[in-house]
Amino acid sequence: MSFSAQTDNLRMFSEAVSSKCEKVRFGSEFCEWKIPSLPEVEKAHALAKDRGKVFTYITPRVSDEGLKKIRAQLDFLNGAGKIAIVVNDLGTLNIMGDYPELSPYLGRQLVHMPARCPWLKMRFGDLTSFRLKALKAMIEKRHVEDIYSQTSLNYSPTIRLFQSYGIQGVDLDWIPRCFPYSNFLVKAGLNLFVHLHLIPVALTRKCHTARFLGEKTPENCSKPCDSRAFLLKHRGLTDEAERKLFLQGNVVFRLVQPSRTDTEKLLRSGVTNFVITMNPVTKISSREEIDKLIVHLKQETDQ
Amino acid sequence: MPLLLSPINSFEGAVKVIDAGADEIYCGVAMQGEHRHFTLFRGPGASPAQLPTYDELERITEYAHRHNVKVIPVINEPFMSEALEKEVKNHICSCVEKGADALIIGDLGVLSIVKDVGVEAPLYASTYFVSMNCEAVDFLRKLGFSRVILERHLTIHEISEIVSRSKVDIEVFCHWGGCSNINANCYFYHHNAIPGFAMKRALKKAFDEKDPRSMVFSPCTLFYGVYDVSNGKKMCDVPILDAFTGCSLCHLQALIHAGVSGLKIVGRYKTAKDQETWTRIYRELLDFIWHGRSRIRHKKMREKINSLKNELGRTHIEIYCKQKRCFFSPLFNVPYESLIPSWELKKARRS
Repeated sequence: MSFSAQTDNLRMFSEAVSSKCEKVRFGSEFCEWKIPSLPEVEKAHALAKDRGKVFTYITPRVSDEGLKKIRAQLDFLNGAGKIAIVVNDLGTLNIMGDYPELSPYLGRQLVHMPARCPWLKMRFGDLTSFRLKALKAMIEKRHVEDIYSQTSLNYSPTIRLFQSYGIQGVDLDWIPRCFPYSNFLVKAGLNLFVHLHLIPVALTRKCHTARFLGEKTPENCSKPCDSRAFLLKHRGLTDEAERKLFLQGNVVFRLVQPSRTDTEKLLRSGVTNFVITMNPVTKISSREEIDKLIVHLKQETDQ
Repeated sequence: MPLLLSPINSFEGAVKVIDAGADEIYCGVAMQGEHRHFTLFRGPGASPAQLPTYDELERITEYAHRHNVKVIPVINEPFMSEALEKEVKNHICSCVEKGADALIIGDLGVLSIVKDVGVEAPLYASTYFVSMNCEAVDFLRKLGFSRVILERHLTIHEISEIVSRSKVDIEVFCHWGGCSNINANCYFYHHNAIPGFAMKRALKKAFDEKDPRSMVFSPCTLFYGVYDVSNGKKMCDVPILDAFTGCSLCHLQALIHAGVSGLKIVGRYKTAKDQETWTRIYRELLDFIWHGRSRIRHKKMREKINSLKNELGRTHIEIYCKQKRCFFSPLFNVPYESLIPSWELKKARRS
């Protein structure tokens, strides 16, 4: 098992580099206005290098303005050795060819996973058509359910196309019903990185947190999401544990807790890379918390 | 002048929107076969937003072509898997066979099938590709797309920048469907796909209470209890995820000046009457602006829009104008501000 700690915050990053994880990820995954400055990226890279950690840089969906910032950072990183870049925007992927030293990885926003939907089970309940004979309906339902458990990468031509752009790996979510299908991606030669806790359910540019807290413009946002997150409750819709919704910045997440059986299931399908996100929803912000989680997961699976 | 694209889900609707002045019409067709119950947003399986059969598509293309209007089927789910390949291939071939003038594609896997079966019709890149910058548009151009439909959360300035630097046609959404979240990254599937009992109940409640928001049936417009994660305390009940927009009448002149090639009205699931009404309104305003040649003075423009608004009725003004649900309004606009007591939001912000 190999662990990466991920954050967009330099203070937390310095905690991450001193933890037991083998890799560290820095950068904003979801918000273009939280892309770190070039000096911050340089500092993060130097910190990781000092501590002997493998450094990965993460990029979000971006407008042209955001892409300019990313270009400057890629210019620097390209000269700093072989570094993995998590790409969440087709525009960023398009410019990756200009940086031969960097290895692009597909971010979660470029992989569609229907099972991220919090209400998928409700949908399955509605699937059976009463017009059909029972057995046929059941078989059909089963087949359709199977597709809802796959990703948009469970199709060889899609993988080949991304690989022609140099894609070497993919970020995925901790959704146990999808685990049996991840082996398809491993066999296609992709390195899989599974995020342990947070499943992104909805992403916006009209940041829900910023609007709620009265921020005026994205450019001048005080970034309240660095320290704040909200639990959203709606009777009937968010009652079950797996449907609990959290709002952090411009993303609505579902929070999941990895279980032993699911971890073993994932390891059996050939996935060995796990990502620990440091933020107010996971409540992981220090070296001790990362180490505790790593020890716990390793003990559970005897690895 | 930008092309006006109207949605349809029936032959009746096609006749009406063509009569109302649509330059192009777009539609979904329900995919047949074992996986017809697979629907994410509005397809590819059966849903009220889709034409039920390929024969209906053929009837529509015949009628539209007689009136020099193009028909563009959408094959635009951001998803493809090995299991769906055969059915999607048949689906694409059937649409082309029935006279489709172009195809809207929303996934790279589907694109590979389109190329595999040798479709010669132009290909348009769906909003599911979330094109937000010139490089993304260039990426899609290199893959063979001749038109790119931009993400809905862009500002007019950003659109203008992309148009000026792109080598393909750029299309934008102008009416309805200004989702609170980025489409391809939103898993609140709700368009006849996932509702389930609880959501139907919540939406019905909003409707019964004559909540003006009930026109927009989606989980992102519901009221949520908002709790601070750090201390577990409840802050307030607000539709915190609601950033829904749906009208760009007041920004139409700026969009034309930005140089977009197409303006798309959303609403494949709407009634033929709604589809017709909005096509006629946008047609009238587009012609008015275009024939005004240079920029029309603000006062004259306002008068024209107000005269159209009388046609729209009170509901539109209540929802879109009073709550400032305009496409291209500032990104941090709070349309739900007028729906809750102001002190409640202030209190939450202070805490």
